[in-house]
Amino acid sequence: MKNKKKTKPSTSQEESEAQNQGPPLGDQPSVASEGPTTTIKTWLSIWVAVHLIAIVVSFTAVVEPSSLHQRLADVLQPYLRPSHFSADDRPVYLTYGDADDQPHRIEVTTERVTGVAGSDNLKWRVIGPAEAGGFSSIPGLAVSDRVARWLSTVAMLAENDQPSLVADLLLPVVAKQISIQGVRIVRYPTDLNDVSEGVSVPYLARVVRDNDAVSLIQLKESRLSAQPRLSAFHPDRTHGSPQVPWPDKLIDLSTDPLAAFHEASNHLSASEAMQ
Amino acid sequence: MTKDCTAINLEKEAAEKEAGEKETQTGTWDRYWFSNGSVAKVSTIRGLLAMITLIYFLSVWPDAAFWYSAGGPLSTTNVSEFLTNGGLESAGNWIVSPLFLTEDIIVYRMYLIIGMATSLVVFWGRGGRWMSFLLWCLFVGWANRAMLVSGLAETLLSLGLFAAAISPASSVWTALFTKRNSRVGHLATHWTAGFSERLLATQITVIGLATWVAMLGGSVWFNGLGAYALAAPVQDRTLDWTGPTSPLVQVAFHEGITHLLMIALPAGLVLAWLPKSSQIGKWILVAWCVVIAMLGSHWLYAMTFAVLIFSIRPGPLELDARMKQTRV
Repeated sequence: MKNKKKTKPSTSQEESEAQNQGPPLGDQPSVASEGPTTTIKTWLSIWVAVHLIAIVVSFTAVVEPSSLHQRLADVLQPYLRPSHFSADDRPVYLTYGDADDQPHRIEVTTERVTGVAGSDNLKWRVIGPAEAGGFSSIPGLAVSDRVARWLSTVAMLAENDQPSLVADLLLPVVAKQISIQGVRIVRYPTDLNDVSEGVSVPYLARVVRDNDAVSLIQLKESRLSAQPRLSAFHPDRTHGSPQVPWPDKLIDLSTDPLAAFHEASNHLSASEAMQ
Repeated sequence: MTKDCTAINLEKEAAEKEAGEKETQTGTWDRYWFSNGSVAKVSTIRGLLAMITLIYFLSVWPDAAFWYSAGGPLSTTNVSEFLTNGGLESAGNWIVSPLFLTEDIIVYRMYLIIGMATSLVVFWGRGGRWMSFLLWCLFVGWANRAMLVSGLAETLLSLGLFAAAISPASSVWTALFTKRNSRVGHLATHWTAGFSERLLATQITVIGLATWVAMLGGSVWFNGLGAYALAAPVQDRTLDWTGPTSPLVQVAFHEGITHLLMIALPAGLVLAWLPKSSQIGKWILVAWCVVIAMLGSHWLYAMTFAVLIFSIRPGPLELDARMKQTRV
């Protein structure tokens, strides 16, 4: 122990002698330099620790973080975002082979889009930065990557029922070209998908123009849905619970569907309240 | 009496041992972060990062007008509306860029020209470390402006450029030329160069391990399909590896590559930090980057990752020792 202690200073002395062979270093390199002061070391050590923790938190928060992990990542955003040190849900894992990784394209048509069923028969063409051809259209390069990220975000928003956010991202592209009447995001299958799975359309919209205003109306496949069925009051079938009879007047769905909906809602609310 | 003396001696020894351990610990941290490093080596890494940044700025030139001009999908007005409609104003507050102030595409083109010129200046080692920080600021300004369309390569480059800017400046070729002509010149050292090098190395190690941990979260990296999943979206890939004659379609081949990718990343990082196997580890990691780039077309990401790997230096006083040898 004592020997070590004795040898240490001499080693550092030799090192400092070896380092101090010239003038102190500015921006340009020279052979000499002295270490930082203790104060600088302390502050740099604190910063390094925080910086590395922030990177670890950010890069590991991309795969289903816990609420605590997410809160910590949020706390660190003021440091990570302005400096662009944040991983920010980017695919650190490179690929999981899921829908986000599939190729997406934005296509437009000049024909009228009436519904999902007939949309495949229309003539669609791909638009975006790649339509100019040349270097930009080479897949896998930076331009293609940016388009892929943009469209996968749009598709994700569309699948999460966020039509207004989708419109914010797509409208600028279609608004400029007056002839466009429909727009869709197409997702191509890969070899990893089921053989029966073809090209899917996560987003399809009709472009509606009214003077200067342009809007997108998302078209969806009609789905089977369950509706509440209400029957008339039959005293014979009650079992002691109070019942609310149907109102005398019949609601005309064809003239005012919204009013009809409210009437029905009020009626159900009243029934629940009484029960 | 004798017993008391023995007890006191033992206590003293324990205290000395504890103090010694404490000193060693502090010394290790200080030696790791604040020992001198080669300016030329960091300059080489910084020069290569500057070259990748130049390629990045060139790559955004063709589609800048499409995204950012007035009425474009990512024009300031649209981004603002998007953030407001999505209730993401608070998130947007921290995404800072001077380019959010304008939609004039000429300003964007000028910004890119300045960015490219700065990249070249940094590549040649001119302008000191402040030029490197300027390049980092310009790059971050653009990457933040890109927002939704910026990827992982931008994050890696930002981290790399910032850490490399801490070191004093020198030309990317200094290491190569001085190695041939003057050994002393090559050994110009500074503690900021050492700090910068350590930061680069630690960052890429942390990112590499985080990448590996994140990969463990996906089934494709276990069931052998990972390599194929990287290449599968052929419409978005520069090279198509899924043709009938490609070896990747062979099950044994893509499963083997997948497992190798999963093993190579942590193994390469561990080996790179061991003094005896450092070079082998680094070349394993470079091979990993090459495969990722070829299969997944992650060109900028893989290039940046590969350059950052060469900042890993296992021994803290390696250069000082070499310097002493030079003096002798």
